[in-house]
Amino acid sequence: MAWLGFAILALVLWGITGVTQKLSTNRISSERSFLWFCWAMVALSAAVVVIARRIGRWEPRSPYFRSLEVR
Amino acid sequence: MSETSRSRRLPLWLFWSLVTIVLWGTWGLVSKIASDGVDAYMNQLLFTVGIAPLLIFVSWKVRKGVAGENREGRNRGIFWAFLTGILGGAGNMAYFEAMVKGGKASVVTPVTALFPMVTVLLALIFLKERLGRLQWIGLGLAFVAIYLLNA
Repeated sequence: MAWLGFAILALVLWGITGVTQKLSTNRISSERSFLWFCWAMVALSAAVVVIARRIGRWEPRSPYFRSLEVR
Repeated sequence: MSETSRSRRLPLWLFWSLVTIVLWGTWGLVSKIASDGVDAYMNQLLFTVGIAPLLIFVSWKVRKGVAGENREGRNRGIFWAFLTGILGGAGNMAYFEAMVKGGKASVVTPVTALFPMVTVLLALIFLKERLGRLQWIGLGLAFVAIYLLNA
């Protein structure tokens, strides 16, 4: 049931975004809000690469990618 | 199909709502398929690559200027938008990890789709919004739905 913990975590985090998004669009346009939402995604991905490499979870040569290389 | 002829049969808002349902529903299925081969970290990276075209398009649009913007409080608005992206991305990773850990797409997706009830609770506390009796009942039923989906 480990999946349930992660599903509830996703539910809570996405739930909070409903409020933060409202606070954002009260002050700026939806377009600019979406733009900064995307930049945050880019920043998060950069952080993920750094952290995942440090903790050894980074597997760019996972079976999925190996199967792509074979084809 | 022209906008006029479509609006006669189907309201435009309903049309786009249905498009959203189909796209998000497909996203749930694709995530489950992808979880067989990639981990949550790689998924986040690929997700970002996927939104890159949208990022370019919206950057171009914002650069041209958008109507109705309040210049005061822009930095605060940007801060909340950025925080939304971080929390949304972390939520995506948790959602994907739930799939990787063996959760069924048919259960994980409906459970996580109940996230508006968290928004409602937080909006009551922080935004001082108010709910009617029927809306409270709806919120209670959302909790029952989580229980039933995991039974």
